[in-house]
Amino acid sequence: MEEQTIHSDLIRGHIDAILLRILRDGDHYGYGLMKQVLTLSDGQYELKEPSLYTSLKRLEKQGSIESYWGDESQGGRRKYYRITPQGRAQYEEALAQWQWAKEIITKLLGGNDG
Amino acid sequence: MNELERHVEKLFRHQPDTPETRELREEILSNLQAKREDLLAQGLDERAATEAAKRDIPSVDGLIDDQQTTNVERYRMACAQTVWLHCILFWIGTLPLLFTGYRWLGAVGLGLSVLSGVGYLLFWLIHPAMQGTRSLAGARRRKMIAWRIWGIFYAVAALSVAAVTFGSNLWYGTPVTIEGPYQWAVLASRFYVPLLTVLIPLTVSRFAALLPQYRVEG
Repeated sequence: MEEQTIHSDLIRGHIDAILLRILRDGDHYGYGLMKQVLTLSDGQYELKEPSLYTSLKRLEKQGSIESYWGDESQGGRRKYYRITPQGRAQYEEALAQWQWAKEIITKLLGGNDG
Repeated sequence: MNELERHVEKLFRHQPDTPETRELREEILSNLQAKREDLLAQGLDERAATEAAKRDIPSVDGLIDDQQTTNVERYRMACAQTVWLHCILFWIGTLPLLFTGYRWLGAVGLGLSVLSGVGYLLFWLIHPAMQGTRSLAGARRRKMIAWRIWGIFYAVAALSVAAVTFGSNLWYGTPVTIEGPYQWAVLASRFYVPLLTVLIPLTVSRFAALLPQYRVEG
């Protein structure tokens, strides 16, 4: 657990992009997004709820995602999120930046696959 | 109301009641319910699933805009009115002390009531139109600090009074004797006087409770 806290600092700055990537493949509600993060990371990264809501709020304010309420009949209404064209552009941008940074950091840290 | 609903209720207890917080509250609850159902499906028992769902969201303080656009002019007037009312309450509270050694507190109470009344009146006459941002969490923090300080103060004051009053009885093992109603009144007043300062944390609490009422939408 301790180990995950240290590593998650490296991931935290990319949560917006990660959520955009998931929403690119389809609309989700909050817990669905958390599940998807866990699945896509092969169970190695668990997104915490406070980070999820903070990130969703920021993305919605920026106009990168939109929300709408589902019509569940039982267990409370769920709030779904969908990506906007601006969100798609933001995702592409984040991906390109990450690839650039990854390459440079690997070179600088002396990794093998630079 | 089930346990998750209670948990979410608790998370939002000190948050202002706005459309934004109501939505966030509904969203958080439905996500927690989904998480709990998912954990139940994975084989966890009811108790463990509920606890696991609650664990990840211990507070919503960081999720709600804390800086509230406030009608400062009206808010300050409401605060001044509160101070005035509480000074009057203090004065009323000192009336039973008229026949004890603390009768001078009555004069203090009357003086404070008049002063704060004049202050409120001046405010009411001048009140410059003003808008600004105020921190809701800051107001809640001040309330908590005020109550803590007062709690410590009263505990110390009551213990000192008890020590001074009953100390020698304890030391020499003599029984406590209170002779007649006057002695009772004197003893009670010693504990009652420091209790009157409870109006200070009450005033700070009232300031915190008033703040969300002076929100400016937009």
